[in-house]
Formats: sequence, C-alpha cells, structure tokens
Amino acid sequence: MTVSEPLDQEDTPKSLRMIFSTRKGMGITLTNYVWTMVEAGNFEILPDHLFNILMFHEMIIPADEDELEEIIARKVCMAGDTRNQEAEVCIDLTLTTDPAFADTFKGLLQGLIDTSDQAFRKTLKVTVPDAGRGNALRVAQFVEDLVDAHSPGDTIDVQYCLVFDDILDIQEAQLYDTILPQVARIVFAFDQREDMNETIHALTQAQALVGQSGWQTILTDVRIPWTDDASVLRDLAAPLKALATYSNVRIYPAVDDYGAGGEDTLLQYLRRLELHLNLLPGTSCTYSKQSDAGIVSHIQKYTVENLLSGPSNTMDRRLYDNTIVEQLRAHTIACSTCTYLPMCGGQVDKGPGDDSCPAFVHNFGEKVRLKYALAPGRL
Amino acid sequence: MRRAAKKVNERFRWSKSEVVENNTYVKMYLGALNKVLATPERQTLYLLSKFFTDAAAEVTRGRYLLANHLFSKGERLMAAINRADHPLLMAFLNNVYNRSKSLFHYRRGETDTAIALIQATVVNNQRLEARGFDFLVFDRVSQYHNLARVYFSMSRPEEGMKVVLDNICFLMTGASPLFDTVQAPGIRSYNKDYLDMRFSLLCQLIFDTVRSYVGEEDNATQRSARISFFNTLAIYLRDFIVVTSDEQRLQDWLTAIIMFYEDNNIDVLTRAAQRQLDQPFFGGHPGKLLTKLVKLEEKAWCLK
Repeated sequence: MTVSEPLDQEDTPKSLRMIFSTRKGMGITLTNYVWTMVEAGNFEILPDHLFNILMFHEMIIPADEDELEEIIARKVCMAGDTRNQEAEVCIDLTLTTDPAFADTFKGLLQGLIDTSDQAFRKTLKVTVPDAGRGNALRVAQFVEDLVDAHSPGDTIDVQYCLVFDDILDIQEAQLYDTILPQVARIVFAFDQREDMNETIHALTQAQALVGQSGWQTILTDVRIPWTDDASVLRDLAAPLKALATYSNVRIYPAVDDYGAGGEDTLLQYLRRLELHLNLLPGTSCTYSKQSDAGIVSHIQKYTVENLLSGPSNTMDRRLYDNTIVEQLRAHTIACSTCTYLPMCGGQVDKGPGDDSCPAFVHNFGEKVRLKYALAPGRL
Repeated sequence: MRRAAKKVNERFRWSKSEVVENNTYVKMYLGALNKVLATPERQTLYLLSKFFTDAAAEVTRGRYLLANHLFSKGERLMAAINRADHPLLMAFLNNVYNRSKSLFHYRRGETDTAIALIQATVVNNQRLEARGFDFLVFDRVSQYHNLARVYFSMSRPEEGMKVVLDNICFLMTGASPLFDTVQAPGIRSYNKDYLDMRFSLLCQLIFDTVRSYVGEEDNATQRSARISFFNTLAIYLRDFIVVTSDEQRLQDWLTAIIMFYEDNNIDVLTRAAQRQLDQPFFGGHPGKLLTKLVKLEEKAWCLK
C-alpha cells in the first residue's frame, strides 16, 4: 500500500489523498479525516460501505494473516492454474520449417493434454512476432495442422497474439479475417523506427483498423516510440489521442528506451496529452524474474503483456516456483519486504544494491496519477 | 479473451465503490444487516464473504487452485466462529459461502455437490425469509436460476426448463409451484428496490434462457423448445402483474413475439418497430434478439 501526500494545495481534513493498494493493483481517494481513522485502526467506527471499499482493496485484512506467506501462496496457486490450463509459445515463421521445433511443439501439446486438472478447456496461446505480410496465416496453418493431428478431440483452444511492427493497412488486414475469431490480442509495436513520419502514418493506419468490425473487440496494445524531442512528441499527439478513445486500445511507451531522466519527460508529456494510460501491471503476474538470462529457448514461456507492461520486460522469466519462494521466505533477497512484490513477483537472486527492478516502480506515484487521470498535484 | 466494449473513461473507474453504492440488492442487503447485526458481526461477515466472493471470481477466470486457497482460508476463519453465539451471522455467511462454492463445483463438473449446496441455500433462505428478511426471496429466484443452469449442463433440459418457467411465473404473477410464499397481493405495493430486483431478474431469466438454451440453432429440437417456451410465457402473460412502464414494454415485447409465433408472421419486426420495441431497452438489446429469432424462424418456414 502506498499513500500520497494530500492532492489539494492545502492540507485540511477535507483534502483528498490517494491510497494505492499494491495487493489489489488499484487505488482509491480518501479524505485526510477518514485516512486518520484508518491509520489509527479505528475500523469499528467506519461506515459499512467504506469498510467494504477498504476491504475490497485489501487495505483491511484479517489480523492473523502473514502477508508474505499469503502473497506467496496466491502466486504459487496462480502459477499452478496457469500450468494446468495454458501453454504459451512464441512462433516466428522460421520455426515452422524447423523439424526439431515441430517435435518440441508436439511435446508442449502433449504436456497440455496430460495435465491432471479437470478444467474443461485447455488454451494454447500462440504469439506470432513479425505477423505482417501474411506470416500470421502461415504460422496459424502450421499450428492448426499440428493441433488437429495431435488432439483430434478438439480439446485445445488456440488463441493468437499477433505482433505487427510494420504499417498494417486495412487492405492487408483483410488477409487475417479467417483467423480473426481466434485472435485474442493485437500488438502494434512501432518503437523501432527512425523516421517519425512513418510512425505517425503507422499509428493513423492502426487507428483506422481498430474501429473495423471484427477488430474492435480485440484487445489491442499500441507500443509507441519514445523520444526526448518535444516537437516530435507534439506530432505524435493527434494519432495517439485518437487511438486512446477506443475502448479496446491500450497504449504503452516503449519502456526499454528511457533512462532515469527520460521517463520524467515522458510522463510529463503524457500528462499534457491527457491520455489515460495504465503503465502499471496487475497483480495476476505468475512469473518471477530470473537474474541469469541464459535460458531463452524456442518454447520460452512469456506473454506480450509481460513484455510490455509487466515486471520484467525481457523473456528471462519463468512461472513462480520453489526457487523464488525459498528465497522470499529466507529473506535472502530484498523482495521479501518490498511493497511492490504483489505486482512484481520478485526477482531470483536479487543482490543488495541491485537496481534491476521493473520499470513500473520508478515514478510510481506519477503512474498512479496517470492511471486515474488525477489533476496534477503533489503525489 | 474477448472484452466487451466499454467507454474509455469507464475503463479505470473504481468499480467496487459504485457497486457497493448502486447495486440495489447490495443496498437492501446492507440495510437489512445494519438493523440486525452488531458492527463486529457485520464486519466479520464482510471480511469472510470477501474470501468467498473473490474465490467465485477466480472460478470464473478458471483459476481453481487460487479459488480453492481462498475458500479454505475463509472456511478456516468461519470454523473459528462460535455458531451458538452468532446464529444470524452464520446463516448469512452460509448463504454467501454456498452460493460461491456451488459455482466452484458446477464449473468443475461436480454437479451433485453443486445441486446439494444450492438446495441448502434455498432452505437457508426460506428460514431467513420467515424471520423477516423477505427480500431474500429474490436471492432464492437467483439460486433456482443457478439450479436450472446446472440441470442444462447435465443434459437434463426438461428439469432445467421447468425451474426456469416456475421462476418466471413467480416473478410475473407472484405465485408458482416452486415457491411456498405467494407474493401476488404484495407486488403492487413493492417499493422501488423490490420492483427493480423483480424486473432485472425477470429480464435476466427470459433473455438468458432464449440466448443460451432455446435461441441458438434453427434445428427442429430448439425450434420446438422455443415455441413451447413462448407458449408457456403466453399463459403467464394473462396474469402478469404490471406495475411499471418497463414492465409494460416487456409485456408488449412478449406479446409481439407470441403473436409472431401464433401467426407465423414475419411482419413482426415492422410491427415491433412501430412500437419502438426494436430499440435497446431493459438495459440490453432485446430488439436484436427479436431479429435473431425471426431470422431463425424464417429459415424454418422457408423449408416447409
């Protein structure tokens, strides 16, 4: 839980504060007066609806709860649920002609079928990087063929996440109509371009697309370039604001790019644009960050959401397991006492002075303010 | 995962506080509890209920291990309460617990356990209703609706349909074989909260049934199920106690559909449009549902 300074200029009993629960990944505003009562633990005098709101955000929890154990237990359960019901795989076009990969893929399918949980549906989440120029269709064909051959009983749902890093116009987009019902997510990753005019063009095309029938219900992540150049940012404003009006669109800055000073500028810019941006992860992350990045295999499990907004923006992550649990319990890593643990998941072998925390913890207050579009204040 | 379209400014709203403040049922529930339970009891109820409702939410996301963890945590705390000292608290807690846990078993295919829990809640509710918590009759309607869902999932559609129809009959006319209490004389004196509950449950039951169980296919089985469903509603319609203008529109809408089935008359859409029944209402799009039904039947009639 983090608590802001009063949001108003004056600090009176009626001034509001933002209270953000990192256990729930959500915030509420309370007046100073109410906050004083909560802080003192005077729960008996709180009106019911306020008590319920505080409890919903897990700002009030049972007295005998061991918070660290509870967080660990939930993460382990969620990781188990994911393991039982889902498999995630990232397939680019070159892998479809790789015989070794076909075998690995069959192993993954078998693992999904074999899990003992009685859940009715198993989901295979396929991320297709570089999905443009019809690549997505070729990958989908490869996946469907193998899934049909391997699980004829129709027990596996296949969901696609298509990543486009190039301009996608409406004409090309029609190519993908056949697999559209299975597409759960689209990512437009426009962060790698040199020429900003091209980016603006790409954003405009993306905007035309997200309103199309069939596309308007698909969760769409737009990853935007980030630059210190104020005039460039100004040019990006119009397409970004237009995109932000679509309910299925989420906008992310390309988080790899900004340094310590850079992010401040970016946040100020986003605030000026008055975009509602959620740069904070949820609390349902089931991965811990690994400190050695040596295990990037073809079947590396990761989701694009993790890449974009999650605690770790790299592929070096794995489902919550004993390694991280033991370290958290033994307090050998600082994550055990960190406020952000529920949203982050923790990092294996995190040494003292190691500042490799996920990007979302920097300027946290400002990001909370952006998420809830609060007026500028002393957060 | 598909998401329903939402307005962008609603995306980040602080939903729970709105639910707590605006949900009619929650308002009634809190109001009633305020009168009978002392503050520590109420807060205990809320705190424990949260584990069960959170668990149910996780069930809908397919996270059974996490749901199980939350259930066990709540169960442990519940077991620590002295039952004899807090009978009313326990009755309400059981209600929340059984409702959430029955969903868990239902989703895992353990239908017998689910049914047993639903029936236990119904008995529990009847007891509480007799003690003056008469609004819990709406909770019972919702429990029966869940029971019907379980029957449908077990390929026992006749039993499912019977429960649904008895439920609808009760809400429309105030009496049905499924309910021991007769509400008919009281419906006209319902306050706004009760009327809201009645109407929203009624719409939910009718539209959910058409959408999920009788309105999907143009095959002969579903077609006869549809016709028999609306024919039965036609009988209830004669005794429908109409109080509000919303209920008046629902009556018109149902009448339009029933006439459509009686006459095999595809002009129903034109007629519905004349009476603005093709517009969104009841907080949904029954107009679209009507269009869908007509399309389904058109096919069947062309084949004749």
